Amino acid sequence: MKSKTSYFNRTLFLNLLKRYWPIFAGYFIVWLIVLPVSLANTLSYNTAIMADKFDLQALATAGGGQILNAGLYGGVIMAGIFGILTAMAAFSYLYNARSVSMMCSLPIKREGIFLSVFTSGLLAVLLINIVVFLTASCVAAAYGVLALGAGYLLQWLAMVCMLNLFFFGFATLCASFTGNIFTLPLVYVVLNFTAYVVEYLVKTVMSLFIYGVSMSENFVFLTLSSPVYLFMRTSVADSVVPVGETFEVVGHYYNGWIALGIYAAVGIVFTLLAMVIIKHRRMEAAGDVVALKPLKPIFKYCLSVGCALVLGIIIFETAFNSPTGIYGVRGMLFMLLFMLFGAFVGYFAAEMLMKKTLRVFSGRSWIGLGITSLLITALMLCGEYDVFGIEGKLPDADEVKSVSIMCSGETVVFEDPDNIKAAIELQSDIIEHKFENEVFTGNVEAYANYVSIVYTYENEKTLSRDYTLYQDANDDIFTLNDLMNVKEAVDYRKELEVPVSVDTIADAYVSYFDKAEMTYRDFELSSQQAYELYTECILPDMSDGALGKIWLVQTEDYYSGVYDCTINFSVEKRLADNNYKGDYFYTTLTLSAERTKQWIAENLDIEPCTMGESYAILNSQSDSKPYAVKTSGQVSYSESAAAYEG
Amino acid sequence: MIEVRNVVKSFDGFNALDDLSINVPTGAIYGLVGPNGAGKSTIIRHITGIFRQDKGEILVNGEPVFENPRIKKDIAYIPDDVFFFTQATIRDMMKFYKGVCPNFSTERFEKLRAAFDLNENSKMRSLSKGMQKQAAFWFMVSMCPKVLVLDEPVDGLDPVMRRQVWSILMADVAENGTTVLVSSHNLRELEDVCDHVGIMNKGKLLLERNLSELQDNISKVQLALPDGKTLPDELRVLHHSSTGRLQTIIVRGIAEEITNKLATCEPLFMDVIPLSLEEIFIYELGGEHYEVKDIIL
Repeated sequence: MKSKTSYFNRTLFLNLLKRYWPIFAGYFIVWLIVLPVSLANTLSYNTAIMADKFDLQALATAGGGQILNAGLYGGVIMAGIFGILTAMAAFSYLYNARSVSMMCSLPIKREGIFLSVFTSGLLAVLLINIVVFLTASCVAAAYGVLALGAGYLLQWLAMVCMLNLFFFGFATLCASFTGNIFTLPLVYVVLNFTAYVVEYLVKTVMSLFIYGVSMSENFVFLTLSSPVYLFMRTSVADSVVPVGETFEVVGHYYNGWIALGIYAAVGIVFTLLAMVIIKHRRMEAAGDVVALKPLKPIFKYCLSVGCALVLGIIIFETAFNSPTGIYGVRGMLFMLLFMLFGAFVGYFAAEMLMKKTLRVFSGRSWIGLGITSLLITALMLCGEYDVFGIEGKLPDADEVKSVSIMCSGETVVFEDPDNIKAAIELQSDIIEHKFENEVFTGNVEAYANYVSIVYTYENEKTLSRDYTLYQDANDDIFTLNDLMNVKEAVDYRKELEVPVSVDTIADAYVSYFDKAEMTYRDFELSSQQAYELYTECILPDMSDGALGKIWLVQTEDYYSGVYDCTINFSVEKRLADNNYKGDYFYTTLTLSAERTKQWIAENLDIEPCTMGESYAILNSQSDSKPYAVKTSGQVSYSESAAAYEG
Repeated sequence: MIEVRNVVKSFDGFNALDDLSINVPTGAIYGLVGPNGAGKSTIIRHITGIFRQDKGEILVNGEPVFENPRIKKDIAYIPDDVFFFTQATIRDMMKFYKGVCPNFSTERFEKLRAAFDLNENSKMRSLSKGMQKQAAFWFMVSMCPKVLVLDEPVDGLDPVMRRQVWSILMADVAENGTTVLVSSHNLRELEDVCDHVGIMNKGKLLLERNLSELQDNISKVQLALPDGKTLPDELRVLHHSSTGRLQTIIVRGIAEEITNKLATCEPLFMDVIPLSLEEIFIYELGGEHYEVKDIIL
């Protein structure tokens, strides 16, 4: 015969609520402020600004975006924080020998205690979610948007409940294998971000010693860091309908339901796993940092490797934060030294925490540290000598859908197969010139360009590489400059997110160097003027290849063929939910851009000077060195300036 | 009945319980004694289902106790250091125990009220250690247990309350046949209440006897022998001391047999003095290299 109190106990269920009600009250109050109160404020504001043209749909859309964003961002933060607080309250009995004795001597099975306190914590927050949902529904009803806003509120409720399931389940799992109340939140926070942080640190180390490895490479294990994943990979998107040449936002939707569903399911699995662990847990482990014996070596080695990465990077970056000539094998050896120190600290810190003594430097402990150190050393050497082929990896042009190149603040996406091949060839040249570039490391006098290349494969996977190119090292920067000015690149630069029209141009001006005043001036353009200049002059000139180029290196052609004059304007459009979408256009005027040059001369009465002329004038004002000095292989600025002065 | 059979428990390689076997008969008051670190509290935590043994078996009334609510509902446990929810009052705790222990008797709780000078509305955290112990007795006895497990139960109680508590326990045993396992270092007190005694050392049970048997099986003799006479070799002497001609010996065996053997030496003077539990404890453990050492400072 089973005891009635075996698997669930009402007294334990209510006991948690009675003892820890301030946690749940806090959860309720914060949500009240974040959702119903804030929603009332938004609806009130939008009602006021739509006084002359009231649109219920637009009002609901404005509120909907806020509700869903509260569900995502507020939900992750609230479920994350209150998940651990509730778990700490519910499972506090596990962390003290006296409370363990009291709870475990009760005539209730361990799973009975677990289920009683877990359901108590979970149901409390779910019930609060429902109360907040109903309160927010009342607010929506008061502004007449309940019918349109109920869907958003139901989505909010679903999002928050799923997030509660995941985060409380995860916190419960952490509670099951930790034996110390102070360790629990620490473990919870660390594990929530471990995958992201470790991957980031590994990338940082790799980027320091494996030529070309990019920090902007996509995170592979991001899903293991739920808060980061939910914030970075899911969002509240706009529902749009086409209106003429543009789109109208008519609503919002959350694009991460699948991920959220998976996380909720994982939360349930974590909960069951935690129950099994607690059922078999050695209760004498109360007070220990790690309560499960099999997890002790994992904790020790993870802390050792984690400290190796963190301390290695911190010490390296601190020691060599000023420009130095550290690179290649020398740099790797310094990094290795610092990482081994970090591994030592982490390894013995773990031993001290677990054994609760400072006397941990016994003979056997050093064996484990030796293994960790050997592993780190082997990986570092493999990275430096490209055993894994990471450094020399080039994509197959046939598999690449597009390549994005970013340099000096300019980004271009190439989809033309010839340009993709050219980008791959450029990367191949850069790798070949590795040592020529690396010798300039830390040389502040050298003219350097940072270039980031991101290939997107047909299967949507990406490959990223970053390089620093030195103008004096080889011709790679010139090859890149040419690639950034092919027709596809110029066309890419003229495409804007918001269509250009008189109505969408918000701010336009021509910036130029005034020879007479010897200073830079801006000439404001009206929307009409900017539109005319853009459509009748700039676009045709760009089509002719006379305008829209960029200059990564300042050659003689640059000083003689480019005006010290830029044309700038921004475009923006107001969306249905009262938010704005905008973009920005700018181009540098060239001598060959006849139409644009003529329009400026006729309409603005501006006579721009070339880059060479302006530099010469500015340098002549200074008794010191010229503004720009060019080194061998290039015309020095002072020489070129002198030529133009003449 | 509590049966502990060949139980082994280790903590990080240290054997806290080493093939331990204990038998507590139904209705007995069993005193578990032993030096500090002998493993008394550890075995108590196993008997109450808090810890799980690595090896062996622990049965209460014939059934394993670990994760067995059917048996655990009949066990009440008062640890050395009692735990209560800090914000709770005595009444809150009473409601808690009433909710989790099916045998809890409100009627008994009310009856016991007079025995304990406690205000039900007092917060547990505001009570002294002794008052918390009193409260623990109040709750545990109200649970109408068939097995009561006590770890240093009267530690912190004043003499009057000690008598009160023991009186309640004895009455419970007499009326309901409750089995009591009590661990204490206060051997004089145990001697008054226990009918069975087990002595533990280093995770093992050195001996387990009915108290009267135990006392009958060891004797303290004071005697003076004539010149040239020595103690018979067949005596199992645990301890021997002498002051002038007067000798004091602790001998294992029945008093009558011992005096008969000593009589062959024609002692000038001989007196057999009954041994207290404390003396038995000291002399038994002396054989296990746990004795009072003469330290000169």
